[in-house]
Amino acid sequence: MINLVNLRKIRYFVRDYWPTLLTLLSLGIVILLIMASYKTYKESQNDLDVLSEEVKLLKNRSDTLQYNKTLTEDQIVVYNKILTTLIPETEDYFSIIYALETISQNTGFSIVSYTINLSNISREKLSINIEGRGNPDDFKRFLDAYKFSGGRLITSERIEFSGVNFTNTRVSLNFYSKKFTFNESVVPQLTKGDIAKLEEIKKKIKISFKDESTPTEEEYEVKDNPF
Amino acid sequence: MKKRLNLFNRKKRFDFFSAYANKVKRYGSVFGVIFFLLFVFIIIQTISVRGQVQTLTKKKQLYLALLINDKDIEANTRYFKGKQTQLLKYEKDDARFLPYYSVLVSALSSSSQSATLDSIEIDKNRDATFIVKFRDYNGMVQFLKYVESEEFLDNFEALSMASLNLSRESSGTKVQSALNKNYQLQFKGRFKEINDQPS
Repeated sequence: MINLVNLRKIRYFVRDYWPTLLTLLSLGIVILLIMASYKTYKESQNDLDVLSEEVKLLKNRSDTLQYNKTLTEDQIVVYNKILTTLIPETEDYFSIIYALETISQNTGFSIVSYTINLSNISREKLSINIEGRGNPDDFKRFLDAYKFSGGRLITSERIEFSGVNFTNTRVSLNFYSKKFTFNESVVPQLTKGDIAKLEEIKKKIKISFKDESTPTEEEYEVKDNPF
Repeated sequence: MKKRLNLFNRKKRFDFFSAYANKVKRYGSVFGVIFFLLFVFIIIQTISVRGQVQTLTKKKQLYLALLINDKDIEANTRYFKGKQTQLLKYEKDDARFLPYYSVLVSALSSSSQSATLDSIEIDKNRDATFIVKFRDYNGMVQFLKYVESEEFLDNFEALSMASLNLSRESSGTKVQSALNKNYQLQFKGRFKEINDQPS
């Protein structure tokens, strides 16, 4: 009985106020639509922001690469070979001896002895004390050339030169080797100064760049059967 | 069928609601229209943003394709920069002896004829010790005057004379037994940094 009364009340309420109820219902639906569309809009906007940032980075990367390509005029492989020769990935004692011999020949400053300074060795630096002979002009040529002309990067932290008897010149030379690791996320932009420096070094060192893809001729006959 | 006319006022039901019903209808319609316009505006904006997303996606694919083509150049550039950074770092260990040596030699030659550089020691901090030798007293005095001049001192951050040494060394045959005097001045100091290395 009570249920019947309630139903009737609801019927009357709907019949009397249906325009108001319709207004409220429409308002509710529109609000829900706004919320849903705003959510979609925000998601799209976030996608756009992320994508804009990505495209910006990619564009910078691409532009930087194009600029570097133009700047190096396809010489970057040669520059990298020079840099690898100057600072090898692992220490190569033969190239140290070869570098000292080359410098000695090129400058006339004869290196009479060298000793490895064990107290000053690290993973990336090898220190060698050399003793040399030569007149001041030879010594001057040596000073001008030692850094790159041997084909290895050589630095000297201390030099003792005797200008009178030309025999007691002692120089401490450092050789370097270090493995290269990729650690930068951004593509570095090269400058004209970078290229000018490498061009300057390139003039000072003599490195032959053989095309590694060229097959080498066999220097001796190979037999399958040793008998 | 009989028709009857109801002479009583229609009974108002739900009085609590009837007071607001008209207001709800009026303001609800207004807000409804505003909200609907807002909804349309958001939809238009969303369509516009999605259009931009599509354009950017195409651009992204284009740049990715370009970068894949240039991946060797990228690897070479990174390697170049990495190795060059190592080179620049290690170069700082170098004493850069030549410009300082040249400065000193040219200063000596312009100061006194008898001045000779006996020895020189320099390290990467530009700290230097050098000994200048003279055959005669006048040459030494002339050099000492030159040392105090601004022209010479301009090359140094600091310079002091560490010692003055007079030695006699025999020369020639026993018959001659001539004695030569040697004046040695030892200096200690620090060179001013020279940025441009002379070739």
